[in-house]
Amino acid sequence: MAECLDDLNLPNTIIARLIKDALPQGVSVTAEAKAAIARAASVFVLYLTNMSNTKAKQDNRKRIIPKDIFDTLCEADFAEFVVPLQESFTKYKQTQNNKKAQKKDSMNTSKDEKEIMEDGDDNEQNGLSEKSDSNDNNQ
Amino acid sequence: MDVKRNNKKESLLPISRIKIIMKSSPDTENIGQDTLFLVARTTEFFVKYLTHKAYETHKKDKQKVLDYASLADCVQTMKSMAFLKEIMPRKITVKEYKEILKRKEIEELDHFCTVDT
Repeated sequence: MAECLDDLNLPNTIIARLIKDALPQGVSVTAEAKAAIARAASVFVLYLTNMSNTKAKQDNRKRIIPKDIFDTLCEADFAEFVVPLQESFTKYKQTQNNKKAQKKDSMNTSKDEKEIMEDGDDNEQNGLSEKSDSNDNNQ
Repeated sequence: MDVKRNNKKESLLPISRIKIIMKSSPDTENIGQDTLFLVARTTEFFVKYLTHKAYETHKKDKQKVLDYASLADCVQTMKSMAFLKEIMPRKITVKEYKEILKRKEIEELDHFCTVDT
């Protein structure tokens, strides 16, 4: 949860970078305008959350799903965001799936290694017991 | 135009911060990781969009500065930005404010007069 008021603001450096990207070169932005845009961004997140929340509630869900966000954007006159967002979302999904696959692979390989190690341990133990057996025999 | 993005990082804005803001809304119960990413990206788009629109509306002035006044103008005129109207009001001078107050007083007086008669 938000503990102090600062937690509800988005980092200024990143906002400044985004603003710089959206403007042609040589255009400067006043500090006041920057602060206003940062504030607007925070409010936008809340606005989006509220609208998607009502969408989820209408569907009798407690969880907000990506479809709610897309629907909200269409409804709130931000339909032009939808196509580029969907592109980056599919990309994100792909990377996420790849990560999962990699994790699984590494888990499997580490398991195999462990098994090999355990096998080795067993062999050693067997060897020891055999040795002790032979010692017993000698006595 | 596009930001240099680390391959590891999918969104520029911190997901944790987005989560805190979303959770500060009392109705929010459950948010998936996908949704968080999506909201972060949408906010990035929104910041760029707002900046771009504000710059375009005051382009005619041929100034090379983006200031608060053009932002406020953009917010007050665009339908999609209506939710920001109260957060980004147009700035007025004290003189203008006093004039508005005066006008209101006169209106109220008129109202009373009509009620009396």
